[in-house]
Amino acid sequence: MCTGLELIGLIAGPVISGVGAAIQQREMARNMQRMAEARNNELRRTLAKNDQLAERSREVFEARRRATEGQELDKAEQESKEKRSQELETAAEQTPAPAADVPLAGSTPQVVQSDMAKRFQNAINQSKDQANKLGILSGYGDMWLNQGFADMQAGRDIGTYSNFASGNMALLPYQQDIAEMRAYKPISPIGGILQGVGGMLSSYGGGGGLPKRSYTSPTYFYSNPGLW
Amino acid sequence: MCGSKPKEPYSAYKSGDFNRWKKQFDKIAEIELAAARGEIPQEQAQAQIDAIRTGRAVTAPAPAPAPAPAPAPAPQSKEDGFTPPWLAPYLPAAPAPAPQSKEDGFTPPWLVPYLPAALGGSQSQWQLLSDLENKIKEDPSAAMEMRELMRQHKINLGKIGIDQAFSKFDDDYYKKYRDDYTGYYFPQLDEQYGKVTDKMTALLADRGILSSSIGSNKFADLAKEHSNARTNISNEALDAANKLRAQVESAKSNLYSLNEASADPQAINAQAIGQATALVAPPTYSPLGNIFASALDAFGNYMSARQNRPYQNRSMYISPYPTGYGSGRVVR
Repeated sequence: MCTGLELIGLIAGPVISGVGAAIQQREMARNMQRMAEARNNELRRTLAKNDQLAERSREVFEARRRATEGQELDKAEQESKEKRSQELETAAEQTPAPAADVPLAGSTPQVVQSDMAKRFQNAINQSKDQANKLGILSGYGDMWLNQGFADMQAGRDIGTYSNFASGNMALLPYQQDIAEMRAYKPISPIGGILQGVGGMLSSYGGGGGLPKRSYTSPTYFYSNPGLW
Repeated sequence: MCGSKPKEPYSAYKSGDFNRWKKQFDKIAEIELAAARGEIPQEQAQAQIDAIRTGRAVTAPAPAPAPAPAPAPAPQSKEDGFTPPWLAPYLPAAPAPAPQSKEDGFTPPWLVPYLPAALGGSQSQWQLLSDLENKIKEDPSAAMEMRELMRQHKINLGKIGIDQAFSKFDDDYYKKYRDDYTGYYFPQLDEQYGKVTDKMTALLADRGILSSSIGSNKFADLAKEHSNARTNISNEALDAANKLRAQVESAKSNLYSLNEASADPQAINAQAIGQATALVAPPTYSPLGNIFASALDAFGNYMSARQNRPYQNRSMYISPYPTGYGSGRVVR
């Protein structure tokens, strides 16, 4: 026979059980949220560190880029050409005077001597002109070589920052795991207890009340046929 | 105990230990970098670092000021009771006590900026750096970050070491290299020029055209060739200097890579010095070839043709090499 208590058990059991499950689920969800947040915090911290490194890298790159803008590049090219031309012209100019090496007779007419000096001067001038042109030609290579060296230095600096950023990133997965472990909090037993209580109440309601105090085995009746 | 809350693991971030350590570490790093760049002497840097590492000057309470040493020949002090009151205004004032520190009662002025107050912490917050490091090691996450920061600092130190070792390869160095290059080849060239000028003078004089327009032309051509050769040698010197510079830069790049891979500044410094020393040894240079070989070609040809010309008034060819006297006949 179904009493009031059994009815209450039938209704309250599943409700309490459901509340217990909800509490448990909510705690698990909160745990997951905390763990995700902890991982994200580590990520944000690492990205903030790497942002500074990226900023420094960009500064190096920007400085290098500015140095390769049209006017700057033209200026560098002009400087390279002038530098080499100047050096080569100086070498041509410093050629020992040939007139001193040619032993002309004392009776040599003045006109011959001046003609010879003129020809020598022309020869040296031609050579200087050639040196100037060679300097201009080689200046292109010098300019790009210098640009290459500047690129190399910028690359080295950026490479160092990149190395630092890689080092920070390499730590990230481990730091995230540690942060996640720390963010995890054990689920409180309330949810589980409520679920258990709910189950018991349901059993009580469904089973027609509390278990009976005494139980008569059917074999008893077999052994005492007079009782049936 | 059952039901008790589990103990939360130590976090160097939450406790603030990591920030404290980082503040001290940044300061030490700054000093070390300044010392590596040569901005402050090594001894001074070491003293500053030691002071920060040990907190020596600040961990103990400030001792009472030591009595000022009285100058030996000074007159009796006022406290002695022997000084007449009328003399007091005329006595020199006692020297002001120097600021004190734990051991010797003196804080060097250069240490003042590195005292805890200057570092932004109170004395109670001040901890030995090694203690902090050991404490932080209990937190694996912070310990990893600490090691990474140390690694990055070592790389920065190594980088400065490399840059300094290679700083001697500047414009002056390459200019000297070019001068050495031309210094090797120019004398050879000038010597050859002198010899060819002598030969040409002799040949032209032999033919009686030394003081002629032909002779002048020949000497002018020779001078031009000489000047061009000098230009070429200078040009090659510049190219060789550029090549050397490329080698130097390449070696520097390699060391940067090694530095980042090893993060051991001392090993890198040794290698940088080794590399820089090896680069100083110049490659071998071949001596100058015969630049003016073609200058005398015309005269050489002339002499050869003259020697091989047919005998005058004879139609047949006679060998210039006599075969001696005798007879011979052709046997058919």
